[in-house]
Amino acid sequence: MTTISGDVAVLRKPGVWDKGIASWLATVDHKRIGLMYIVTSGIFFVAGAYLALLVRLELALPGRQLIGPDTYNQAFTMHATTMIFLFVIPMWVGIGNYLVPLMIGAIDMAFPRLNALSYWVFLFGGLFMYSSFLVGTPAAAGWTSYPPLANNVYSPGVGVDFWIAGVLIIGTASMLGAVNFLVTIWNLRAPGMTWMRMPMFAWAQFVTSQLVLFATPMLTGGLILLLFDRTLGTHFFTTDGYPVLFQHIFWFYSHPAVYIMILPAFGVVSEILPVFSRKPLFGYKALVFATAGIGILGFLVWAHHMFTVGLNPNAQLVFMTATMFIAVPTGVKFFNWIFTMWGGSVRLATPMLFTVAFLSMFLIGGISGVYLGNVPIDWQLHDTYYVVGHLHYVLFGGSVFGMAAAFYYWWPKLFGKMLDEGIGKVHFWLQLIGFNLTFFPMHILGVRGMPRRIYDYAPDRGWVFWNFVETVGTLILGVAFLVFLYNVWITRKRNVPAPSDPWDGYTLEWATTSPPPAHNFDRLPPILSERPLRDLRLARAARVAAPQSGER
Amino acid sequence: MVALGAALVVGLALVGLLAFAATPSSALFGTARTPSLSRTASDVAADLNTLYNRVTWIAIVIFVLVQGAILYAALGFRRKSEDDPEPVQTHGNNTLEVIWTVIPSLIVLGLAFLSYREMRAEYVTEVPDDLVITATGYRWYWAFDYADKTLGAPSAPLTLTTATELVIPVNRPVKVLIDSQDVIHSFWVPQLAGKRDAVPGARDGGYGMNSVWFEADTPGRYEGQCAELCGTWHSGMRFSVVALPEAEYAAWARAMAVVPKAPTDAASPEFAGFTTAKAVCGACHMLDLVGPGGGVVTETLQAGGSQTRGPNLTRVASRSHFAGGMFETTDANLHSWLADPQALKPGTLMSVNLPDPKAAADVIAFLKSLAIDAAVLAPVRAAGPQIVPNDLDGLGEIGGGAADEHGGDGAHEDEAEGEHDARAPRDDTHLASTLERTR
Repeated sequence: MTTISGDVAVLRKPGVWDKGIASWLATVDHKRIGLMYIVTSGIFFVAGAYLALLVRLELALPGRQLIGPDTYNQAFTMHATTMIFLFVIPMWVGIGNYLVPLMIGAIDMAFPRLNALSYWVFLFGGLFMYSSFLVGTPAAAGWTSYPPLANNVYSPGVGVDFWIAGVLIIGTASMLGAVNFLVTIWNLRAPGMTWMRMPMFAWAQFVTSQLVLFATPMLTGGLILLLFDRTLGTHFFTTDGYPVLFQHIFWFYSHPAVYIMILPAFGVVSEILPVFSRKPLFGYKALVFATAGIGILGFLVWAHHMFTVGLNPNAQLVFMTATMFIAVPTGVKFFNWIFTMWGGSVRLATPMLFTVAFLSMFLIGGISGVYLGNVPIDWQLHDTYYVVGHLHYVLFGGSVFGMAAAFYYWWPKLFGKMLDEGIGKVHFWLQLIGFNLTFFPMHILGVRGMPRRIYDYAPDRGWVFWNFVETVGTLILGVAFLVFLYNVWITRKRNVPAPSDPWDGYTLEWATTSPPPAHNFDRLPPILSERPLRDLRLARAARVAAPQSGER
Repeated sequence: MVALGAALVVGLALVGLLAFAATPSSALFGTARTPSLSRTASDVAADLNTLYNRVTWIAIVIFVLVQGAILYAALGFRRKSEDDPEPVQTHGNNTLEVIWTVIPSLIVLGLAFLSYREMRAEYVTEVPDDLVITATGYRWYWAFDYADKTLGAPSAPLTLTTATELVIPVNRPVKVLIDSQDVIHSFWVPQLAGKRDAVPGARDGGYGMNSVWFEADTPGRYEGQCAELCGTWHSGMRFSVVALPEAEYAAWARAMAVVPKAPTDAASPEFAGFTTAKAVCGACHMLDLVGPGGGVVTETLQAGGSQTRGPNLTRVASRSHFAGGMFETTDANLHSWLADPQALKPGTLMSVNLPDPKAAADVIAFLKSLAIDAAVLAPVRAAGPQIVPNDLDGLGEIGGGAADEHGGDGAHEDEAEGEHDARAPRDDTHLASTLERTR
């Protein structure tokens, strides 16, 4: 590689790209790409968590603690940007990348090279965005980047330009990935796997990918116009144009983005609940329709982020009603999940603990969402800490608890080793307690009039105590994450191999070894229902009971 | 490891309980200046709070039922041993699916209807334009321009300009038009009304200004704050609304509306301050004065154009706070501010400074000479922190809904009776210091 005049054929000689780091650089294997997504977004998570820690330490008490107001604005701007674009969305892409081909019995994604391209574009988009910390100042206009605040008059410097370009690059990676998922799920399902036998996680990724594909171009367009305003002197979103137009464009993407971040978690719990209850998913078809319904309604509610900008009252009424109606398919999901456990044989292993906590926490996020979707109440609660509490119950209590469940459930498949159950339970309880201490008091502060995104607050407002509690909760969350890392480390050190199917799973990924070979399956079991592995186990049991018929 | 974890969890819970028990109730439940949604001071805010409480009751019922079902299903069907037989394999139930689709839909429609009624009340009500105040957001303070037809005439309303402290009469509808001169801000006084965004260009760009209206029913001071990220000092873009009885408000407004005379005695410190102010502050601030020539000439410090970047300075000494409500208007604070505004509020547009204490003292003396009569200002200063009964505010939002709903007046009676012993000394010191300031 170091000599340009070297023989090209040497570089292509088998072996160079099949070993060590080079093999990761060159891989088109969906499993390795999935792992690269997971590790990369995990590292961005650490960066985003560090920024959140700065925010919480600053707000622990009134007055300046650590950082000045501009740094504070950068911290929460980059925290949200990181967590949304560089952690939650790509983490689900990574987990989906690894699991979806396995779950539908495919050898790989439909376009393996495109898959590798998506990853590398995502990685460099993230690095590009973070390079704004090195070359100047990062964006400080909030992850919403509303003009005029985000235009070149009020946000001079390159921060917002880097932010826009970074989001554009990451969004491109996201769209490429979405196309790949859609084609894979449409075309590469194993023989026998009809739409209605497909695992719910694959369904969730299918709907999510459509949201990505149809929503992201809107954001791309809006951000390019904003970039023109900043660099070419156009007037799309200045007072000569219409600043509020940007908000419409932004939320047309960013509201579906909420479902891009949560639907995969819905898929995960729909996989875990049946296995740990030893029952089929209750109301499989209803869950499929509910997922699709949420996807469609998700496109019709964007203006509920804008009830205070002075929209036409009739429009507000329509957006409010549509927003509230999202509670209906979400409710359908909840009741079906509950009835999956009901009458089952429930085993509360760590993946299941995180799943049950997901249900409880997301329930709170869903209910607080009804307040915010309610126009007159939103006139009071909009842009307060109530919103911050709500969105973290959805994205942390929802997405992150779903990820934790997914990791504990699929870790043996991904790495061939079981995470420690005892340490996992410690991780679970610390995370549950830390999470609620951090985010529940935000609702209280919101109804006491504390706006979000403020660097400081007056000591006489009665906001000190709960802010301090939140910061303590954040530190506990930090400890919980360290416990998880310890679990990963000790699991790797012990090196006890996991069986192919440690949980008595139902779906195809458990039919192959842990971790799976490069070609995924030596042989696929027949797919006669949505639980092929249970069918296989029953058939084997029948063969043991009646050996004669087995010898035919 | 598990034992250690359990000990950690129990320890945390104990520390949490102890901390909770040892915490003063003001910390838990808010102070007299907490701008809580439930401490309503107008019908508009009370209606919003009522709606909030109704939704809360529905939410509590749904939460308890669903959370109970989750916990029962997760804990009530535990696997006793790995040899347990496989449970009955239920794949679903269409009747149940219909039930839990239809019932939530009806609940949602009910909620939407409750909100619709509230929206209708907000949008259909004819708001009299008797007292119209234009609130203009600047980075980072609010400017207020009054047009009061009751105190003036319908064709020639009384007008005045101030900033950061909005004084209004009780029991009179106030309409606030909301504008911005730079980025998007949001005007919000939780105890009086919901928030509305200040969209720049609304007045001149043709898409119309947002507005809110409210009718304060209790005298007092209500805290407001910008609620849309607007840059470095978004957190410091505060203001307060002081509601006064009509007579006190009228006295204040008439005094504020008078254009004061420019100093004429060339030997006085006020005159020196005036000269300095014209030279130094004029680039950004406006000052309305009757000129030295004797005729009614309004002098402005503004170098040109009709828009000011800094607040109108005419009555700055009559406002309780300055710099967007971040600092109390005291001589010491004004000295520090004039000496180095960037040190107190890094990033503020005010970049000139007066390091010479003598020049600063002259400017302060000049600005104080323009203040309105202390006796007229006294009720504003005395409004102090809002006095509220020792209510369990934090629980009020969740548990006290029914009481608030039809007991709004009762709560205000409590306020009037003044169950505020704990606050009294503080109010007195506040009053003393304000009186001292106004002398």
